[in-house]
Amino acid sequence: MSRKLIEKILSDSASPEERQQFEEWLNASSKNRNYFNKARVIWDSLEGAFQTKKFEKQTAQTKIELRISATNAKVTRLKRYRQLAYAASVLILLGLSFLIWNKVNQGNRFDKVYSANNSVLEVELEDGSHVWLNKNSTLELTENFSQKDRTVNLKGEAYFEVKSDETKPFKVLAGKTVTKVLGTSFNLETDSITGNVNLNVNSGKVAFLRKNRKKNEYYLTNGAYARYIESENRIQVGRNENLNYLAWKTGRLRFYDTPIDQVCKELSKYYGARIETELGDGAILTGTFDNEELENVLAIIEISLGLEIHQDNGVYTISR
Amino acid sequence: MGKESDHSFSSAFDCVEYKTVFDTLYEPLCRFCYRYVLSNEIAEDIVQDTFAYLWESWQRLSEMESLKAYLYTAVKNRSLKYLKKNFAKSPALTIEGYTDDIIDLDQPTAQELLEYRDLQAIVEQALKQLPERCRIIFVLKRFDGKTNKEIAQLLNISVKTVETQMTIAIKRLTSIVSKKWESGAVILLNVWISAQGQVIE
Repeated sequence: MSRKLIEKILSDSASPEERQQFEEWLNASSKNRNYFNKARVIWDSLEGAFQTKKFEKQTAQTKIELRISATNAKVTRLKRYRQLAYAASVLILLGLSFLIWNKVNQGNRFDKVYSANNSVLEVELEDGSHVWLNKNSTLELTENFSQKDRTVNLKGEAYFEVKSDETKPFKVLAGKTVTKVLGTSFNLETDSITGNVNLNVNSGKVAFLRKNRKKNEYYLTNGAYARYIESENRIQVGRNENLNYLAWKTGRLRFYDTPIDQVCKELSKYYGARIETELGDGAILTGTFDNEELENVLAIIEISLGLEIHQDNGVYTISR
Repeated sequence: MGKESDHSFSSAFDCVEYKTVFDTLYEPLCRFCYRYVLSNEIAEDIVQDTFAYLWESWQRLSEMESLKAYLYTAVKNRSLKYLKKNFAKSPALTIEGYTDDIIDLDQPTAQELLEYRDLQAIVEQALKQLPERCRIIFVLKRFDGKTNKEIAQLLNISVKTVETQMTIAIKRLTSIVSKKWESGAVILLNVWISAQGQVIE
């Protein structure tokens, strides 16, 4: 709190109350005093800053002369074409007003929409980035996408392989979050019911933040995940332990010493089915399923772990 | 002197008054500008540009009561314009979040220690290590004496951001400078002690 005040004290803009608040902070510990003293020395040392720096006048003179002759040439040329320029500017003005009129009348900010309904959709964007859209997901592109910046709006889940372009950051708006990247690949999933947003970074570096909150950006590198929890309005980060966050795209489900209740959750999500168990971590599964039918996967689990699986009204229950 | 400057002189520097202004003010203006932009090339570029403009408008400007004040204002405005442009250009990615990971933790070499003999040189190095946006805000505050509100308006950001960035700037400057400090320059210790006296009173 009082660290903010330091700047006001240094620049002599603190109110008497703030000054008193600051004094209290200052006297609270020698660490605080020490810190402030250093800050003060730095601040004061800049008083006559850089007065000993040397600059070369001789070369400067030549450069200035060059500049003067360059502008003179420009002025003469301009005079000659002045009339032409007037005519052109009228045309440009007309063109501009048409453009502005057009823009105002367009209304919506997003002009291109991709949606995947029953199967995964792969999209190549204008900038060369690739996006795989999971089922029941939509991706909207801002108009003028990739001209000024690259902003997209995601509902549902998608995997992004963003083409590197340092001048135009790639931004994904999803739920109440913003994911900013320069060039990288990551998976982003929004939950329309809870409003939670899950981010898994596959390669490169990603910034993750809440919309309208410039503060508290999280920087994630490969192997990291972030989850925005809507009910608590906070972001949780950690190492990604989930082997299957890309299963929807690759068709491959992997389990490595995974407790059976976790297996059920992942199978439910992947197959869009209800698979339940009360065994918790009472059984553990290791194995890989490649584009396998649900029935086959369940049969394999049943046999290899010695469990029983019942189906009732479309709900699968795994028990001993 | 003719109506148009280029008719009377083959070079602007043939004009004695112009040359005098240049000789006395070129370097001070560069130093003044350097405080904003922290780069020799950019500072010289801005000042040279101002001098070129000065000659183009020599007829009009040389009659001004205070040419010196005019030049400082012109250089300042160009510096601010440059900072504003640079601020918008520099990636927002680097402003927040990274507060500690860019700090230079290396021990300075003997050569560096010589260079760091004077505190200003250390602070200059530290300033250069700040993230671009953070540095611009600090410079506007420290050298231009702008209020947080004015900075926010100039750079088109919130006052809150200015405050946060100032806190980060001071925190990081302090951290970087004290690392160099503790590496041995005795002179600095004296400065520090005297400053301590000044603060406690």
